[in-house]
Amino acid sequence: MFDFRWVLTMALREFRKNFSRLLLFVASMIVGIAALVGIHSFGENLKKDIENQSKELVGADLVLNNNKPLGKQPTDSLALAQSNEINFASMVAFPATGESRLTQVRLLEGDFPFYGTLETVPVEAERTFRQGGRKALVEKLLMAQFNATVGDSIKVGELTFVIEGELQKVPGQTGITATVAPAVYIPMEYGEATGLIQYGSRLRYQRYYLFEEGYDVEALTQTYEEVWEEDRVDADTVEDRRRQTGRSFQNLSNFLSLVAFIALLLGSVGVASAVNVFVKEKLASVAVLRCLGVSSATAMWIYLVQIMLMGLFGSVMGALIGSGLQVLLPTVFADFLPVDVSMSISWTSIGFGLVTGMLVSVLFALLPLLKIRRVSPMATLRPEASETGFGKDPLRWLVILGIFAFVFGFSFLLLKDWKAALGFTGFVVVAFLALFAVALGMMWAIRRFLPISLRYTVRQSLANLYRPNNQTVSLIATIGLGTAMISTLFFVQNQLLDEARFADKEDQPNMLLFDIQNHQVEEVAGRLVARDLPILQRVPIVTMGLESINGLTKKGNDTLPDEDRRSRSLYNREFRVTYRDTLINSERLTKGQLRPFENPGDTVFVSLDESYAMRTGIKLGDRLVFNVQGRPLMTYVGSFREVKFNQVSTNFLVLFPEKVLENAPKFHVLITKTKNDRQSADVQSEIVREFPNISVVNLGAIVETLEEILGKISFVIQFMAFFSILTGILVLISSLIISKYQRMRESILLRTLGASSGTVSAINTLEYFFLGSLASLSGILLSFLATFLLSNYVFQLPFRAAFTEAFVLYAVITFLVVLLGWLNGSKIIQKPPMEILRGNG
Amino acid sequence: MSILSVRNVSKTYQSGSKPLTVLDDINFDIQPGERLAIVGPSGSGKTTLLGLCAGLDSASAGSVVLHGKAMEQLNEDQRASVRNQSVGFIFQNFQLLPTLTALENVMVPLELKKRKDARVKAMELLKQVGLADRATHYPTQLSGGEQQRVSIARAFANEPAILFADEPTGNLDTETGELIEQLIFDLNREKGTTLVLVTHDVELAQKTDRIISIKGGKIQEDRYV
Ligand SMILES: Nc1ncnc2c1ncn2[C@@H]1O[C@H](COP(=O)(O)OP(=O)(O)OP(=O)(O)O)[C@@H](O)[C@H]1O
Ligand SMILES: [Mg+2]
Repeated sequence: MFDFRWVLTMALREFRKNFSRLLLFVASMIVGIAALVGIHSFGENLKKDIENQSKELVGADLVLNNNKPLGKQPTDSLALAQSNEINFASMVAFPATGESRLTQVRLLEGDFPFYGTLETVPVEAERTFRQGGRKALVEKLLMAQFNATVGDSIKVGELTFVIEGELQKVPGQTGITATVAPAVYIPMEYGEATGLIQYGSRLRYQRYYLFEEGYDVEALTQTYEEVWEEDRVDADTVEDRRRQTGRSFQNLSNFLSLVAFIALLLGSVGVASAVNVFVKEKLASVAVLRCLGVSSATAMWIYLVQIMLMGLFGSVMGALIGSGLQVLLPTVFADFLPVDVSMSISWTSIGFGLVTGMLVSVLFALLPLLKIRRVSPMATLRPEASETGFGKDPLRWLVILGIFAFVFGFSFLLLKDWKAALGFTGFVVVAFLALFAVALGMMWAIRRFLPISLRYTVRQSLANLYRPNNQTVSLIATIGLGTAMISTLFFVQNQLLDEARFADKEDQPNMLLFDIQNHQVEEVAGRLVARDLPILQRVPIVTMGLESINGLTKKGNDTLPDEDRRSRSLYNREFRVTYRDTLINSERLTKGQLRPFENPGDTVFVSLDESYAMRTGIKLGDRLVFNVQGRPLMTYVGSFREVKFNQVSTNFLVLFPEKVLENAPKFHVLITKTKNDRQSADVQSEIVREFPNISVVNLGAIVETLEEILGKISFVIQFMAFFSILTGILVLISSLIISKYQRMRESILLRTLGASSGTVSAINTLEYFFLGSLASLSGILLSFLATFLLSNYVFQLPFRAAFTEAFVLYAVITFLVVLLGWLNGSKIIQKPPMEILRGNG
Repeated sequence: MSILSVRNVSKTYQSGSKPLTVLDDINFDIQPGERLAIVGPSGSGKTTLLGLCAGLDSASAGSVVLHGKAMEQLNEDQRASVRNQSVGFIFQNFQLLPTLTALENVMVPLELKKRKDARVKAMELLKQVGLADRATHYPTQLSGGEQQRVSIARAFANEPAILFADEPTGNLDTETGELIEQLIFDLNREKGTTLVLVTHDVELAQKTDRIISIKGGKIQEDRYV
């Protein structure tokens, strides 16, 4: 009974006339597909490039690293070459200006990197630096920050070096790592003389190896795994790094694909709503077909085939644009990429885009298309009959289920975790429901509370939002969600920065001096007092390792089966702890209580950071034996603390009571509050000049770095959010064109009734103003909610509504909508009335 | 054997809370080749009755047997197939498919019957209604009278046993209307089709063999001209 050839013939016949209209429907989908294919191709290429450049990622075949000197290693004699590095965080100062900043100092000996190069300006600096002498290579970011040029000097600890070159790129480094901790390379031979290698410095010792081509490094590391594990040496092979980097970028590209997917879903709402209008127009034709004896399924297929053709067309367009989009992406992500990304057509991505596009267009078009099944042939005799009997189609639920299944399937494919996929699906459903609810609520409220006394133009334009076949709700949803994404981003970013800035205003510490040696602490404190600065906190720090938990040692732990084993990092970690008998105001006790240590022989109760205890599975009352400089120290977990991160303060995973660690070797942190930036700079330069080993961080610098990082991240997110906005705009444009004929009739009717073209134009403009306002306000409302939830539950900050930013966003989006509507409307108004009479505008 | 038999047919609509009986216990039979006009004031239920007879809608009670098939025993898709096999339609507002050309509109019923010669046959019909030269035009490019001629060609395309027409001249001026009437009666005679015609037009009704007048959902009179 089902004649597919005829369906196809009919579909193609209809298609001829419907093509330009159908094109509008898929237009809103194209952006989403393009984003998806672009991101996916980029991800695929990135994967390939990480594969190909994995050696350059590490710069060596094998890296060993530890927090104490590596000494002789069994691998030394097997390698063709080795290179050593010691790195640590320290202040460096620029004597020319007296300014200083916390950086990552790297003492280098040998020819690292064996693969890739340290890219410098001038190019030969990479070579001349290695020829010996007090020379340094300095990260370009640092040079820019202090206006330094090659040939200037830089002070690291007690020694001054000549800047030999500006570092452009270091193997495995990204723009982001450079922002957080810009690198300064100096020759290893001067390491001791800087005076920075001492107790308390967080030193990392690294050894890079070059092996013969084809040497089985993996097997080698297997052989020595035990030995290294014992010594807490961490071995990192090219393969490891490739896997790690590959995985994290896979995650990134999957995350971005999900964001692109949201843009696609927005577009799908546009598709559904446009197809809805299309279907309503086609109901009469369907009724005729039914009269002529076409079965309801066949009738539906005639239109479904058209949608599928159009979906295919849209997907192909999207895939083409997406493949082209790749050209842009490496620039967008430049600061995050550890490798050079190549560009090539990824057929998997294109296939992925095509399948997704087809599925989306069919699923979302089916919702309105199902109405066709319900069209009664009676509608040919009595047109009103076509309006009855919708909505009850049980297949509708099947399609909705299909859409959920699709969203879930898609996210599962990317996240590979059904819980996360379910979470994402839930998020999408809730976000859409929330927006639809807000949109419907606002529309209802307008209708309900609209004063009749309003001017005619205002009333008419508001009434226009409810015209038959209106797409108001779906427009509000699409433009609104785009707005919500962008504004949430803005708000969160603002909130974080504000929080950091505000910290300075109140009576909060804003400067941190750390790595202060025991013998320096009094003198440094004296300097601060001399400048009339308060010592807000004086924090002693002792380093220690964990020997055993409830008697379970590292060795014992290793023999346990996987599921019972505790994280190895617990035993490998160097704990930096402090001691005091009270909480500071950034801390809050969540369980148990702080118990002081009174007399020798008493039990020592320590307090743990709650989330750390949670992560590592340590319970209240557990017995922890620490190793303090070779001496075991037995303690019990007496309480958990929660630490807030919203102020300049020190944070300790483990807090000891007083009178236990007083005699252990220690170093100190001092926390103070300067009155202004000028004073901060003065104190910092004095301290760094006099005590080169002491690191100084002031809030201003933190805010600056934070701003820079957030700026980079938000650029990426804005880029992604852009797709959603663009989709929203396309949905808007397509709905404008779809409703054009109807608008023409309305405006001509108004003009026939004697309205001036000015009035008509005012009504139109107002309509878009209301539409734009509703959409952007819904979005902003939603993003206020999201920001509120994020600040309360994720960042644990008080929520501050960003009204100014919200207003700017509102104005921009609304203006955009009005502008588009006006562009569309001005053409309508110019049309002579006769054209309408003839029909088919 | 009658080609259409209507037995105790009623149609009730649920409008708001109270039921509205639009047709009440209608009975009649039509013999093959007969030409019947249904007349009555506006709102009397003519269109409703036509819809029931043609299997476009189902009755609330009673039985409609069309070309040997009891409509109430078939589902919508089965009725659609009956329509395609044995029924032709002419509508007041023409109801051409706007995205198809005149020729393609006429081809649809033939294609549905899987006739290989659909195009040739359709062209022939267009020639008969005098529109051979407009075959590739779309409905919007045709005048109302021309559109109705295309729809007549389409109605006769599947060689229906019975043809239903609801106010076929209602949207046309008198002159064009008469032309259309002539065309319908001529083709009807030529093909030997049964004709059921709903009209306000007394003159038109007089041209048929039999007139059923209904009022308030009941048959007022059933007489042969
Ligand atoms: N779906 C419906 N629900 C409720 N009442 C209906 C419905 N369809 C038709 N009616 C009512 O049934 C009655 C008969 O309608 P019908 O269209 O059959 O009249 P008609 O005789 O064809 O009138 P006209 O000459 O104006 O075309 C009318 O009163 C109409 O309001
Ligand atoms: Mg009628």
